[in-house]
Amino acid sequence: MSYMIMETRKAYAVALDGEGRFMKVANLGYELGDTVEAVVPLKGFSQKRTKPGRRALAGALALAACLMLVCLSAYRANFALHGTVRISINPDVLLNVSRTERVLEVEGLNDDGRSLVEQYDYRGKKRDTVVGELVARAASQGYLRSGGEVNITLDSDDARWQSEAEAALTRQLRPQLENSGVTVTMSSAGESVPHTVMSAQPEAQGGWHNWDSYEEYHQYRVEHWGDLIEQFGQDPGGAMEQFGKDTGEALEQFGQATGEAAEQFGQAMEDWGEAVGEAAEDKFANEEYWKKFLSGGVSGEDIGGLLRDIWHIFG
Amino acid sequence: MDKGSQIISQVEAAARDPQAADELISQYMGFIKTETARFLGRIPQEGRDDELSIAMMAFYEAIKAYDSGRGSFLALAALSIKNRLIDYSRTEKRHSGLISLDEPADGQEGAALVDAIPDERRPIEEATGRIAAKSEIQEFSRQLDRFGVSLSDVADNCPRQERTLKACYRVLGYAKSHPELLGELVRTGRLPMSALEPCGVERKTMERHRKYLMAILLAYTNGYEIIRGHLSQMPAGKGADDRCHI
Repeated sequence: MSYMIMETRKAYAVALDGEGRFMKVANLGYELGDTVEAVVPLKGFSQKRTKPGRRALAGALALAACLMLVCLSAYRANFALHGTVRISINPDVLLNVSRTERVLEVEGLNDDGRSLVEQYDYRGKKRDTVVGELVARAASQGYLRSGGEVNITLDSDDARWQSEAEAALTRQLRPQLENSGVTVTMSSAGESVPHTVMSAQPEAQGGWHNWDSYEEYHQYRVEHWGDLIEQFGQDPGGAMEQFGKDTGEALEQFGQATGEAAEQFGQAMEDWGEAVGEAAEDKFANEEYWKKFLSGGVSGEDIGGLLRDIWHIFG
Repeated sequence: MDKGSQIISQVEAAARDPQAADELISQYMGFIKTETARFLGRIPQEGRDDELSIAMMAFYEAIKAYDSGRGSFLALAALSIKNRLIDYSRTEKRHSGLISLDEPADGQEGAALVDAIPDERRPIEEATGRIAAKSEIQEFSRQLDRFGVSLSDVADNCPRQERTLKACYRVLGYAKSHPELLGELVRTGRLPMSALEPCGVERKTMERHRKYLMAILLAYTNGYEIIRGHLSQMPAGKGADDRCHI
């Protein structure tokens, strides 16, 4: 396109192009009436102050957008459904759970389920706590007894969430239901056969414990283990014998489940446990033996003797 | 008045008045040359180095853009000059593969390449044509001055958007088909807005580009054949023969 120079000034020239546009261009030594083929147009170099209100509005909008993004992420993590946990005892209960393990909703799927969750406050509680409390509640309301079964079905598009939930719930229920005679099975949605994560164990002496809350159960554990420790202090030989028997019995059961060879191994372990327990009882039942240690009047020879005795017992 | 507030008032006056802008540029020519020399690595020569012309234009751009609440004018001018010279050198690099007509021609000592190319132009006719164009443009400019409009104002008022430019073509087309409107413009020095309204362009658009419309309509009155000839690519302007007799 050609440009006709219409005006020349010190800093610029006014050029007219063939389409009728007048424009300011760099004056590269032009004279009035020159026709040139290319020009360097003056640019709209803007240093004008943006209106303060507009700048503040832009800042506020940007901040609002960031906040919305953060809120949306937080909402999705805490309040959007990420997976479900279905607890089937006889009461059938479905928990809707967020990605951060918050329980969003608890729904009874049958009459017993509705009865179980009636007046149960799940708000603000995590998945594992709610499962633990509902199982304890089922036991206290007579739905779960020795020989019973707890089936837990996990469903989510997030396979990792499912596997983590299974591990966490197993950790939650194992100590809660040990020695209760209850079997716990888990399955993921789409898995046709549930797998057992905890076999029924013989009911512990004293029978089934009914806890109304997780805190109550926790208190029981503290007291129970406290008793065991106390028992060990009073009768270490007996405690160790019991431990050996328990271990042997557990291994025997494991052996029965896995084959004859394992059964024999379990029996051997039981025998070993008994032998260890008896030997320990013989050796350590004597209170005088321990008083020496507890009074602090032990010598290097005494400690060596104790280690030698322990070595002989286990050897 | 201290030096700082004096330059601010000069810049503000220069932003409004092209004559004041020329004076300010002359006053700060040393500064402009220093900034150009800093970029070129040598002292620029007026009339020879295009970079100096570009720097002067950048100085003018800084005058137009300056806001006194946002710091020193000279700092802004220095930045504007530097940015403009960088842009210009980049544009020039794109043409670096081309040979300058001022390069010496092979085998001809002292002769430039431009001298070796057969010149098909007619220098005398061209010079005559340029003198005629200059005379016509000066008359055009004087007529606009009588309307209270300068060519710099027209350039500032020219539509930037293609759509607006097309609307102005419609106004021109309508005025050409009604020569009495062009006559009224010349006679009164005012754009006959009400009479132009039937052309279908919003009055607001015509008012916004009043100075541009006055210039372009004036070009289609008697006596501006060379300018009209140049406007051959305008849809509404079909060249010199399409003038309106008023």
